Amino acid sequence: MKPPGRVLVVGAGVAGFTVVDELRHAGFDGSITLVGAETHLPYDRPPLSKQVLLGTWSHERAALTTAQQLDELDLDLRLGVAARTLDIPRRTVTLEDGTELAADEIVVATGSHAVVPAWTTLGARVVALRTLGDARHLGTLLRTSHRLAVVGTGFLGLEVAAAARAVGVGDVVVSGPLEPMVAAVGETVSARIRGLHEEHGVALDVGAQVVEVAGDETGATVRFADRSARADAAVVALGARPNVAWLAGTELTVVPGVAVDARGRAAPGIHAVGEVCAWPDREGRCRRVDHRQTAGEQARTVAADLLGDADPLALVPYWWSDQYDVRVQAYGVTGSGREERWLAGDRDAPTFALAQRDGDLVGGVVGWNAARVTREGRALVATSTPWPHRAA
Amino acid sequence: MSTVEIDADRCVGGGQCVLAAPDLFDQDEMDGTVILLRQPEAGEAADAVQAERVCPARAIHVVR
Repeated sequence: MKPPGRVLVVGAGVAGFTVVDELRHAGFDGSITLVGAETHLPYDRPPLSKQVLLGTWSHERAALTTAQQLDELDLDLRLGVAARTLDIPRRTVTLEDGTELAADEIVVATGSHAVVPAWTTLGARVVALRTLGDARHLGTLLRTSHRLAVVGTGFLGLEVAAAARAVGVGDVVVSGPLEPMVAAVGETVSARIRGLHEEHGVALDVGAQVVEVAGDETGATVRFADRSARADAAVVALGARPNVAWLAGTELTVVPGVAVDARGRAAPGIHAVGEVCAWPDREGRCRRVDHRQTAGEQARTVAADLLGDADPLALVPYWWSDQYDVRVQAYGVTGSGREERWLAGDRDAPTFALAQRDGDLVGGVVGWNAARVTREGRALVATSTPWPHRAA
Repeated sequence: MSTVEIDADRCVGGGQCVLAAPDLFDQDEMDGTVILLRQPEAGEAADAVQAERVCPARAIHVVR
């Protein structure tokens, strides 16, 4: 297959940037346009809820590239402008400023946005954390807050709670419908996460139904069905949704991410990659995976496919979360209501790893300060090992 | 000859480097921080570059 002459990548986060970087690394010498809605040079998001919030990294350290490296990639770089529409038959993208860009191949990499329910009014003291700007603002807020309300018991809310305690916020309450991270790690590990936060003085208010989050000049109020709580600031961390509004009316299938095959192909001349896409899992169901590692793997496959040389990518999702002195990691698909087997340690051990069942196979592994055992467990997922797995 | 430099403070313990180049990299047992076993020999430069590119934390830098 002849390489395309012009590639247009819409979205300058880790997925879009990695496609571009890989194309040039592979020797692609056609034209590349990279469009990004934010004004910052491409940056990595995982540090935003960790080192950037803690203040141990400057925001420059979260950058994916430097101005000089970008220069060497020889791009038509358009930052600070979002895409408005995609025309698949004409292979064009229209930007918010009215510019129309044409290409032979278009890569949809527009990522996702924080869920902000209708009962939340964002403001100076009620924040969602998604962008570098959000992280810097929240970092400043934490340093002047005594009480912090976190709405959401997933990764992001808990990482924010841990960072808040570390920088000296005295009173941190995390509220949400589910036990901490239970949808991601299952009941056993969730119980350890609860214990970890309680040891560090964080109050978990699970099961409480939040009906309103609103800020004013001096703080924020979180209202529940039967009471309300006051804090100096509130963080709303209720997950993310793919940025697909600009694709409305196109022929793409949105499920809710853009459905692609195992090479990232969404339609003739169109690939999708990263959090905006829904990549087939091992049963062939298209699923969004909003983890950093996966975005990179998908991007390398898409870049290779644009150059006509990609093997289908069988994803083994990987994520990590740093909270206090604990690093939780998982490979594969993990969650609640699953049968579990210990790979190392047990429920009270300082380090442990366990495997979780998915149908007749090992579906995933979760580790708690047990990086090496967890990584070794990855192979059980990658090779579709039958359940019950017996340790060698 | 290529030289591998490690920025351990960036490492997130994903172990992708070990999967890409098990002769060159290992991980701390607990937090998974990368351990450089040795510098690449002739013929191993491509493995080192692969580890650099798959690292989700940009903690590995190969100086050519």
